[in-house]
Amino acid sequence: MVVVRGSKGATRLVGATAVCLLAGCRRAPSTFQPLGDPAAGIARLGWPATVTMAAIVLVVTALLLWGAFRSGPRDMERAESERRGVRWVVVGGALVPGLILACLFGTMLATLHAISEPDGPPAATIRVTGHQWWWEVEYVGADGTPLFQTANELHVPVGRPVRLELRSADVIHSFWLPQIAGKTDLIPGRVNRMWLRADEAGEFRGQCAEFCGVGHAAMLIRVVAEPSDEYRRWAADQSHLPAVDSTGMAAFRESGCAACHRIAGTLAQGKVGPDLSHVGSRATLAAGILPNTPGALAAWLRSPDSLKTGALMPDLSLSEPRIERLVAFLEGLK
Amino acid sequence: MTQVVTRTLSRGARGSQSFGWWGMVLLVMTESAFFASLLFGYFLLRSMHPDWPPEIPSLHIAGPNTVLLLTSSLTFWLGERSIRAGHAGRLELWLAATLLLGATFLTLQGVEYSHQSFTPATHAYGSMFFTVTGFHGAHVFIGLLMNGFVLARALAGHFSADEHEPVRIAGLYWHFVDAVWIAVFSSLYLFPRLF
Amino acid sequence: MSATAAEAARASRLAAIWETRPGVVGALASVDHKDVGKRYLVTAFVFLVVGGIEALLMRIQLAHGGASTLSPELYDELFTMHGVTMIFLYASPILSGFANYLWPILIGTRDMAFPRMNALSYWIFLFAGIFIYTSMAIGDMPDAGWFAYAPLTGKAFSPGPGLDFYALGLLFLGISTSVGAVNFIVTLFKMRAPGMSLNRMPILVWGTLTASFSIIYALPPLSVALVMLWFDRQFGMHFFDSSAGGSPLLWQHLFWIFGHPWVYIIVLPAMGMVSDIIPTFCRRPLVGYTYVAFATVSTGIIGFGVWVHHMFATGLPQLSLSFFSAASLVIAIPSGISFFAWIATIWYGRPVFKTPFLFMLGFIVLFAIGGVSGVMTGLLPFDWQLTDTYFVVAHLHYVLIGINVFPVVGALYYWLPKITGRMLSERLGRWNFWVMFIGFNVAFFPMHWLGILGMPRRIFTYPAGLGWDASNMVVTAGAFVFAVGILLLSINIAWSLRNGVPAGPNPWDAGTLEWSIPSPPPPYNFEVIPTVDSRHPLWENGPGIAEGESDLTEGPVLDEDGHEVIGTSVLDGAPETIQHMPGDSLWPLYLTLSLTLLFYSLVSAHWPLAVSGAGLALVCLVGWHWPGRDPGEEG
Repeated sequence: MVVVRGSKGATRLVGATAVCLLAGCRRAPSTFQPLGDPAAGIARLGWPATVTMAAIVLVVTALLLWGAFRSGPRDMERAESERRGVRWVVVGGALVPGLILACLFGTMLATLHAISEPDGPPAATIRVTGHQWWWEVEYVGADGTPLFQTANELHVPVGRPVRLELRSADVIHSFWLPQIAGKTDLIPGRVNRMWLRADEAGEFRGQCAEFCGVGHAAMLIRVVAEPSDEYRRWAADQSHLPAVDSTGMAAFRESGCAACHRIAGTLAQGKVGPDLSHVGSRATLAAGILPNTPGALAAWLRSPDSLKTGALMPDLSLSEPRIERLVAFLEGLK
Repeated sequence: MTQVVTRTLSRGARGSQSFGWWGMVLLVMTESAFFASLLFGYFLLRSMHPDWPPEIPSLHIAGPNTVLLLTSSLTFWLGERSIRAGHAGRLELWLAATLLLGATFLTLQGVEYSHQSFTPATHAYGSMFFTVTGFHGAHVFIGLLMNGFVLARALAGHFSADEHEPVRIAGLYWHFVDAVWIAVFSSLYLFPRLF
Repeated sequence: MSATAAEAARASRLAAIWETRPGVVGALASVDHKDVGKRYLVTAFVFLVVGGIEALLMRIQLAHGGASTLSPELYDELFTMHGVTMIFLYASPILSGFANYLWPILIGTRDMAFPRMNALSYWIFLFAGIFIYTSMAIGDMPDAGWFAYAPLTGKAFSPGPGLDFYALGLLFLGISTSVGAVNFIVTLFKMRAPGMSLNRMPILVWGTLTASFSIIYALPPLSVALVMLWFDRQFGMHFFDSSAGGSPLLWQHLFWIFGHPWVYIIVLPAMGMVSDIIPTFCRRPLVGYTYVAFATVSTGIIGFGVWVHHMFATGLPQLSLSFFSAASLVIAIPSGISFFAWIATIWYGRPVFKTPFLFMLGFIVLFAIGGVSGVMTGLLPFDWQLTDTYFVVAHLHYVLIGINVFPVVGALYYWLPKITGRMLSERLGRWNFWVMFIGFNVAFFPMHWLGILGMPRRIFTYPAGLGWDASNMVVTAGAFVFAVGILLLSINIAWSLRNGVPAGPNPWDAGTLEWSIPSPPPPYNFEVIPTVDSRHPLWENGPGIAEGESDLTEGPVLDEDGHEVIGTSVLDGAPETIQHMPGDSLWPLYLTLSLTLLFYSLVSAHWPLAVSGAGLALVCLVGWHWPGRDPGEEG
């Protein structure tokens, strides 16, 4: 009863392009190689905690093996050995661990205090809403007025903190960028808040970290950190209405895309799927699992489900010429 | 020691020596945790919604119903007292009275349900209201079956002043059901009026 | 020991009273705790293998990045069923199996306090397990994880019947677990041998007692959550629907208020086994018995105060999160106490390196690793990185396999000879241990750094070239090696049934009561109810380790009036009464079948049939409790 959906070819496509894709990124997004905060603050707690715990394991294992294999005399009088043994139990089992745990807890409180607030006013406030299986992103002004919308990719200025407001449109998701910040869940009916600050320019890989259904493994996050002036240029581009080719737009609406997708400044104002206003300027598609190339986009339009099992975008049975038209149109939305 | 043990130990046990009693105590403990969890859910949702409840449930039926149920605990207790003194006949009467009061409670609760302006599917408060009171009602129903069983055994002449452990055990359950009602009634009907 | 004519007559009278009659009816009606225990052990072991196969399938899929051996749908069903099977259908029932078989012979009595309820708890376990796996037969297994977070589990996002099998199946199983706990508590409080005061009970009795009380309080929140889930799905209620006044956090709180104590429920009895097996192989009593008993109970209690550590990433206020973080660290201390008690016992004893002892040593190392990784996840901000990653998968397997499976396997080597009368092979036992120990560590240790390297849980695949490939391949290899270890265990057990050396009553020269009776025990366990005067009655006269004057040869026989046991007082074990016990009965099976009808009706929304099932169940309960001979009762 093993059901294998999607073609092996498609999966290899995803895998191979992912490799190429991430060649630009660091390799494994390691918690212990933080490139921003709060992750760096957390790592300052995590490293010593890990080292201490590893040392404890080595020490008690050594004690265990020594106790089991030592060849000294073992005929100590019962009451005396009980007394000494109980001393081990109390000191080694309660007092020493108590001390270590108290130190760890104190360090933890200090870490919490250090990372609870950023060290400056946020450069941007970003509303992220989780959907099955993509991220709705809206940059808002300090007073909450919407600035522009995008999806699945965030840009942030290097060295400046940004605030995130996290919501969910359907089930519980979790926003996780291991090298920049710990996870925070996106829970329907709640607004959760977090902040983050990238300290190096580059691209950061994140992923949904709360099981959210069949597409959970394919819900990646891409964050680009760039110098302030480049960031401002990007934000300005996103705020401007995209240049829209009218025949492409007609094809877009005829194919039914406008029912689910939004392109700023046009009649397409669908809210079901990701905003496509500047989709041509993104590096990835389908929540990070495809590179943004004409070939990948065409494959996606041909059959979303075979690239991302369970994708809620239906198979629209588009003709090849129509697909070509749409690809050209969408890639032009920069 | 052997002979002493078997000569002085009695066969059969009652009170804190009886296994059935212990079993019922533990059942009551776990069912208490069940109702505590339900009420935890109620108060948790309430803490998230300052405007709860959408409407405060009326006391017109619930008030008198509470009196009925508490009275039924009294009648059961009087029944237990009777059999402790050896009056099986009076036990039967008090058990019958308890059954009547309990059945009336359930009937009136059914009337209250039919008059509610919301259903379990209207909103989470409705879900909570009907589930909490509904599970309590189910426990009353089971208690009635238990009391009926005990009544049947009483009528069959199984009980005496020395041997009536099942009456005590059923009584523990029945008093527990009443205590749960006090908690449910206070949480759903009284608490919103006070805070 | 010469069997005089009087003793032989006594033994055959007792056998006639306590024997189950042969044949199918006897087998179905048996309430003998030893039969119930064996059935639990076998059934739980089958589920262990099933859950293990589910795991191996997942590991095949994850060995390579970008693999498509399994579809995401199937993968999601597998990780859900793997969790449900291992946590509910293996980990607790296996301990119930040991408890059922052993506890009466450990505490010096002839049965459990409620023999029919004991049989009931097994039958419900079996049928509830089958019920849950019916979802596999119909091709729609639950697929939202073993902790099934709302609202993903609602009808809108999970329309198929899989989650209904999950909710109702676990409710069904919960009946078994709850009545089992009640049975253990009353048995352990009221049926210990005369003289066995609370501070003379084996630590595994303390462990089971603590776990049983935890079940009493922890299972109801789960039942409430499951009822709410089923009501939301079936009747359109809104408990977890944030658009109508409900909240997904309600599910999480209720689930974890159950879920965290549950993990102690499935390890405390096993830790108790360790505390009683190590002394045998160190030729001395446990160091710090009172501390360990206290630590066991404290762990159970504190275990109710840490549940929010499963919810650290949900955005709850930091003040309350910090409190739960503190409690999660504090709970390490009672574990530390037990830990050093074991080390001290080994240090000041004379270790005998037989197979059971090897598993205990392995357990101690795994417990250390699992414990410290738990401390790491208990640190609130660090948990924000570690939670929902493979680090947690590593942690939970180190504590669950380390603290449940390893002691269980050691316990099988230790106590199967009592159950079957045959020793297992020592040589194969050593191979078994090393293959399991090495396989386990190769499989699960790399998961710690996979989590730190950013690999989340519950993903059916990952991109190749991210730095996770090699470790995943190693993990898969280790998993298969571990599976070979389980295979070796199975072979050893099967082999021993025919070819094992006859065990005799006390092959390990141990000190507790179960080793004073034949292997396998006669249906009545003890010919004479023992009177106990120390923690190790069998070590009093021989090696002079224990001081006391327990009497195992003269005592109450109770062979005159059917199934009878001595009821004793809670604290001191002073004899109070003679209790008459029910014999074999078919009511437990009939009741289980009625409940099975009820639950299948509910899952298919056949309300009239459900009412019939409930009605039949009530009829069974009336029949059960009405005095007189039960159907299937012998004699």
